[in-house]
Amino acid sequence: MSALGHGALYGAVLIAVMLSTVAVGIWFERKFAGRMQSRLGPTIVGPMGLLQPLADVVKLLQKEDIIPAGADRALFNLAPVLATIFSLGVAAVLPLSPHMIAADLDIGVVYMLAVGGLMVVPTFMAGWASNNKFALLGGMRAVAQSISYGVPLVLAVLVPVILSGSLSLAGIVRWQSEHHWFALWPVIPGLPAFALYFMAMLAEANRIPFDIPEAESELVAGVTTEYTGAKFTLFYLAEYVHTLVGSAIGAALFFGGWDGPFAPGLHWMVAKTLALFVVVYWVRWTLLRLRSDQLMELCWKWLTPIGVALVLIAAAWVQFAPQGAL
Amino acid sequence: MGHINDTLRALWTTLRTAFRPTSTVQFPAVVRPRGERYRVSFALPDDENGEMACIGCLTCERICPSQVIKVKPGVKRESPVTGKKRAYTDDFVIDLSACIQCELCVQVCNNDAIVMVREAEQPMFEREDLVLGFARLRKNATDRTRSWGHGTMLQESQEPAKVEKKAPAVKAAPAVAAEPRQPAPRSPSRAAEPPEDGARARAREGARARRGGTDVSATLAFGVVAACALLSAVFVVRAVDLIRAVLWLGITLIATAALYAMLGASFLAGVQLLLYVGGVMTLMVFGVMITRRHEGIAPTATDTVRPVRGAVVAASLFGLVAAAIVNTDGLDDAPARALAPLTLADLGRSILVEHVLAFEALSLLLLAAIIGAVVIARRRDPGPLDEPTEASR
Repeated sequence: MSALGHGALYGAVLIAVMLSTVAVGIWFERKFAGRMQSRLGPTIVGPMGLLQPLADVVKLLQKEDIIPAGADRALFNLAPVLATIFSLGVAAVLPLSPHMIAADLDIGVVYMLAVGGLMVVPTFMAGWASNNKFALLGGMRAVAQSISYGVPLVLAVLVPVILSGSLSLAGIVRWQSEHHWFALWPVIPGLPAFALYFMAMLAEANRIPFDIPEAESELVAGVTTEYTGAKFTLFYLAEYVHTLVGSAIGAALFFGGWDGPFAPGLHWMVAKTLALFVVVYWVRWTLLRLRSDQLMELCWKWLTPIGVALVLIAAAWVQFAPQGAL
Repeated sequence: MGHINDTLRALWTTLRTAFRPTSTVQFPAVVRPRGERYRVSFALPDDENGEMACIGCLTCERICPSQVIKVKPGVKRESPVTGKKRAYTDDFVIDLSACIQCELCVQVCNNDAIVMVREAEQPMFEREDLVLGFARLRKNATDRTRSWGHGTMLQESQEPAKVEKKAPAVKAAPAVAAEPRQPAPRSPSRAAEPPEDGARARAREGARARRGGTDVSATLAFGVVAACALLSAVFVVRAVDLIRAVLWLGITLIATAALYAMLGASFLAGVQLLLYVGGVMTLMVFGVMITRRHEGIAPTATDTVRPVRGAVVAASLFGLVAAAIVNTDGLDDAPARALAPLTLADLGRSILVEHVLAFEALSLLLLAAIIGAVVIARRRDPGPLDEPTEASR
């Protein structure tokens, strides 16, 4: 088979696996959220409600496709597609195991940040094209949030980059498997950098407590207010894929990716990714939404200075730490 | 620190709850045992002789806080069973729509003539249907399970404690079969779904092989992308709607990034995307905030000077860049050099060692531009309505 065929096959398998993970993830989230609230969660469709996501998708796809009057039709239709493409696009650089990387770019981290950052474009497009004030407000909030939280995100990602001296995600993971996980050592730039990354990732993916672009209680459904049926499903999907990929990258950058004893690398990577994915749900169903101004205050007054400090510490560590400690 | 502490405590609370048994059950499948004193509706039972126990004394009607009981006492006559004279009641009505289920009527009844039952009435369509008449109350006495209490027992249990206190005889009411307790807490099963393991190392090699693809396709791709960049740049200028214009600009920038990537400067491509997405989005937001909907930027058709001015500036910029390209040494072997990977270390060294002066001058220039923009955007005397907004930040 040609190289192109291999690439296409790999991509197709990866996308299929990610989408089914998202489906199971949605089921798990509803179950987990139920338990956190002392409820049962879905129980009817399938054993333990396992087929609930399937039923949801079928229901969503059956719904009427509504385009509001006065909407910018081209942008309105394009936005959900772009959102899905961008969120899946980041997966290309995911180092699943030493031999499973769709594209081992030597600038994987920059690619990941760039394509992940593109996610805000369809969000704003949707908000603008909907011809709806709630959607537009949501879009504006999304832009403000994404641009702000891009800064701590980049700073947090810079820490493993500096420590390992590589911009390739696989390179960073390889360095960690040869030395140590960054979340464990050196603790000071490592663990806080992970916390920073996690928060910024939640904000970039518009997850609670940073979901002010959606903010049901204020903006109906934010940018997705006017979306129905299949297009809404795509947005929904994109959000989950974004979170899943963000968890995978967090696992790769800070928790050694495929590195681990006893089991093949892929298992470790998947386990770490899912563990982080679960933490996202855990946070989502625990915390409350931040207000807009609190969000900005957290970003600019706390996360960004902390991020700068961590980058400096990491640089100092690389420069001055004794060779044995590295 | 308080926030962090609170956050962690909240997380701990939800996690603990997640591993506890749930408060809810799936109702039709699992029926929770009702409380022993569960009581809903009423019944007028018989006494020990098989006659209706109620003597129409009106005690219950008088005590009822909601005044929903209406009793019509009957005449005294000899009982057909015992032969003794006793009182009867002709009619008995309870309006369930206002009943508060306080059970006071049951408590005060010396004859145990009114009791409560465990089964609720069927849902009804009319409010009048909630009024329980004589016949239904009598029927309830035979059809439905009695609740725990009856008058004499309740009165007894509330008497002051005697030396020999009788244990309150609770009438067993096994109406609802006690279901076994809900199942043991299932720990949320892991949503683990490992993708099928298969060595796809060849995909990576394939990607590597593709990088040095055939020249024809590479040139073709380059041409397509460059055409995209140029076309969308034209659309930027042509678009009337500001948002569309900025989105076209976004496509131009992405196409430029793609060109960088094709020329082997993938880092530059990534940075281009990373930085300009933020720029484009900011521009778009400002566009939305500053311009009015449906107008966008009104095309100034009458202004003939402006296009000329723009053309002059564009032409001189083009000339400047072209001159710079022509005058740069060693560009003749550009294709060969483009294929040679430029490492990031080289790039960093080049910027921070070789061209450090230009780099710093550029930073200074940008800083000056930012400060200038802030100064221009800031109003001298902000009126009450237009305070310095986002634009002045």
